[in-house]
Amino acid sequence: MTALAFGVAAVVLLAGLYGVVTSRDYLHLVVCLVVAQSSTYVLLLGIGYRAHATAPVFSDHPKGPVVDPVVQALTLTDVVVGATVLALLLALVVQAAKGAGGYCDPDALNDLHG
Amino acid sequence: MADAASPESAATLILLLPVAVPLLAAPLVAAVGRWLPRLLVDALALAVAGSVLGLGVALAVLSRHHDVVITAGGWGDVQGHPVGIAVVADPASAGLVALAGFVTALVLVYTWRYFEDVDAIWHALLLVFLAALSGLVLVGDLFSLFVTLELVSVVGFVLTGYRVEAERSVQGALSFAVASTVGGVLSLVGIALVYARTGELGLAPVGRALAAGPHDALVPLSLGLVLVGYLVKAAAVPFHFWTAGAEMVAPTPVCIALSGVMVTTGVYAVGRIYHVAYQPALPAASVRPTLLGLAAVTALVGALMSLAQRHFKRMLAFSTIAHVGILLVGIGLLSPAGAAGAAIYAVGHAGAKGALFCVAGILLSRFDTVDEGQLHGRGRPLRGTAAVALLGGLALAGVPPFGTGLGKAVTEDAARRSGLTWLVPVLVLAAALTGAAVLRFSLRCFLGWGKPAREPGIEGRPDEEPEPDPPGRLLISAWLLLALSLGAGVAGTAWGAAAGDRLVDGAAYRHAVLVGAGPIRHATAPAGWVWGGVPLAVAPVLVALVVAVLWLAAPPRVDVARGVLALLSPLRRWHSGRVGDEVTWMLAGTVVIGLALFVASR
Repeated sequence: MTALAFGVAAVVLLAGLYGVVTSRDYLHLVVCLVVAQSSTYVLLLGIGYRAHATAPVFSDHPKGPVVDPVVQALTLTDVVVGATVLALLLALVVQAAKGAGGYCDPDALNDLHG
Repeated sequence: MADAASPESAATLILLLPVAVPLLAAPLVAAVGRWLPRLLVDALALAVAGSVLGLGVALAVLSRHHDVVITAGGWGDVQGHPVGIAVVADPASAGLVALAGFVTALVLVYTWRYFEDVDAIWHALLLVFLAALSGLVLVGDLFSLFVTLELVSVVGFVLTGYRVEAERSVQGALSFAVASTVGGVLSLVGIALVYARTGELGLAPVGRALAAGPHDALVPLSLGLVLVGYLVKAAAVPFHFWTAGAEMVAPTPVCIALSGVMVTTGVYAVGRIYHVAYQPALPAASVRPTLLGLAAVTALVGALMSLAQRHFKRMLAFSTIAHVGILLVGIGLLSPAGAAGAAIYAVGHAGAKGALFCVAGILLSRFDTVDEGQLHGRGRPLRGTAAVALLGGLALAGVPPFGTGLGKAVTEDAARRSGLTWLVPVLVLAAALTGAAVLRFSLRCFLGWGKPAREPGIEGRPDEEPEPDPPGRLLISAWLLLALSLGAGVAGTAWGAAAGDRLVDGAAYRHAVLVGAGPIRHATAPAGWVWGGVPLAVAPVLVALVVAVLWLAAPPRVDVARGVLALLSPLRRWHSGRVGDEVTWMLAGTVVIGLALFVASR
């Protein structure tokens, strides 16, 4: 089970990064970045997984094994950080697209070279 | 907290303030700033930045005999070890907090005249940036480091793209944002791997747990991944591509903060993470070659690219990359003396580079361009600005008694004593070429040397967004920043030695967090001017002057400019400005670092 989660995380990460590298549209590039970021959720949750354990909620549950609550906290924080970054990236892409007539090829926006 | 009654409680409370004060003040400034007069908003923000400077200095004094530690969260001890997020001050981290406060204060002074119509949100953003940088240097926990790193990134690219109506500002910010985010994701994967192995996130407990073994491939690979996020912030080659674009188009005050403090913080985090969390499992000998290789490539690529630029801000951005290389040499030597050199160099560099960016801002507002060819001779009336530019150029070349000179001399000495003499010419070359580039620009712009015509091979760039007309008061920040650089060289010795000692003493840090602060070893790092170092200090200055003069005044038959630019054209083509290429090189760099660490640890 854990090996599967790690494998999925690796595939999702590499797929996202491949998309970032080859992207021809900034909007697509940002989505690929989000895909890469999502791999960390899978990885973190996979690390904290325990077979036959319940959610780490202690108030209304009988005592028993729970999955690692730390990684769940990390994942939640990661989701928040990811959402912030995504929102700002999209805002920048909207601004860039305004100047470029709607469609936004990253390679067309390379005044900054040499 | 259990230690609330101890005499340490005052010190531990001060520890949280450098993050808390600006972070709480920022929304306040943003919320009420609209109704306040501009002067009051400026004063408020300046007071907050000044208080962070004061807190940093106070922490440096309080921590001179032992680390000041607070375990935030207040969960108490579990099995004899404090559980929570460690926040730790020692002379190195406290000094960086003070540096961040000082530079932010001067950035605020600069914007006072620079942006006439700036909103209070600008001040709020700068304060959040300051809080994030303070957090990044003070927290001793991998995940909190990641969160502060992301906060630095987010505020950093908002500040870079602050003028959203300028197309190229947005491009620079996007390239910065993509690089930061990819770096952040890779760092987080590394952190997850460390947590999977150790079940710990605190740097100190991770160090203890990794020491217990097993010492397999996971240890070097996770170190490589964790470091990527910080190397992106530090602008180390090949994670540096965003820097030149972002600093070329960002508002000049932002460049001062990015070049002066943010890159330094990235380099610091590399040293801190290694010494506290990884040193017990990975001996210095297996990490040093990777870090020093990275450092040397960074120094040389940055220096050569800097020389090839005619856009002043882009030239300064590449010279920052070269100086990051010098800082990384100091940190990468993994010795107290090397780290001491890096600490002094960091302060000296923040001052010199900040002053030069002030010059760039003044030129931009006066002439609407910072292109070397177009500015030929036009800077003649600006005597004060010319003085700052020439002194700044000499400081970059490491002329004594600037902090850059002392830091470089101490680092070179440390390299020689570690038996790595090959690093000395690298440092000399990096200092000489970056100094030469700035001196060449200054001589051409302010004294009218050389030809006004364009150099072959460099296309002119369209002009930047005009920035408002400033009175000479903009020079106040520039002179104060130069004074900082000078101060680091004249009076930075004691602090530099203490910072270097403590940065590499991971064992003392772990002890302070896990058991309690004990007395620490004292001053093994010699860090002062020595007469024997004078030739090495003067050499890069002479080389810089010779290169600058040859470039401008060589007879037409020996066209130095054309030759150098032709030689550098592959390197310049490498900086294609395409996001896909940049991310590809980042990933390649990550793989190379991971492999190098893995091979060396076998």
